[in-house]
Amino acid sequence: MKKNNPFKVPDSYFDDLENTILSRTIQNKKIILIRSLYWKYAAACVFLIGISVFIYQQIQQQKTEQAIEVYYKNFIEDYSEDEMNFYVESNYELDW
Amino acid sequence: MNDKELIHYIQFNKNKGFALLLKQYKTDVYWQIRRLVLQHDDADELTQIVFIKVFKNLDGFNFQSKISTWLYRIAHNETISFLRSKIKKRNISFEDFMENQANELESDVNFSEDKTELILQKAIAQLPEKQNLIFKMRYYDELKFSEIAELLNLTEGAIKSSYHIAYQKIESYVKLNFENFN
Repeated sequence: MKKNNPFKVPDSYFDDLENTILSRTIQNKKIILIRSLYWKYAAACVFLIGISVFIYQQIQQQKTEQAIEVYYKNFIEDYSEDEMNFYVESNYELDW
Repeated sequence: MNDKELIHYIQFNKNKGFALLLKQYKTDVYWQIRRLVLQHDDADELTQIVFIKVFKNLDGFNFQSKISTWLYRIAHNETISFLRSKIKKRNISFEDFMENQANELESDVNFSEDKTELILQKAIAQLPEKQNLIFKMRYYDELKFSEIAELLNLTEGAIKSSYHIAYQKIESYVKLNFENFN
């Protein structure tokens, strides 16, 4: 019996096969790695934004409290002790 | 590239090593599978499965045997599982399944137009599973009887005997059908 290979493949099949297998192995692994990194970076960004917002709010709250404190301090300084006592005893409302 | 160089690449850079292994062995693996399953689409699917499996198991390769032997074994086992699963689903015998596969070659654009080749494939398809596999491994893949015996876990004597019976069956089938064809 004479030995031949009677089977054929479509044109450029073996090049396509190589690319398909590489995309299902090495490149697929890279895509998974990139996707996993993408989610890690996204989570890190969300965490940093959250922390920044929290710190900003704390600073703003502190500033507001300080401003109110200064305001009342200045306001009280505008009145003498006698005037204050008078208003308290007369139960008058102060003109804030 | 020889095995030593290829192993060197695989050990130091798995991805590069695998890409080189794929380039070097893709055609051998494909043809080995194609001769067993006969249809291009099946061979294509199986070749991809085999190399994906090879990629996943590359770390487990002990580098003691030849890469070609390792690949041949994986491809062989994967193909046999594939064939047995299809045969089980259709609930037919191995011979009937292979006969259907061989009949489909008549209209297959990816098969030779030479009628002798078709007769030969139909002749091989008539063989029982073991004779079919042994004949293809020896005749097409040119494996030694000892290698086939190791792969199929049989004695060398049993392999030689099966091969000669298969050869005789094929020869008489081809003679008979070639005469009828002419």
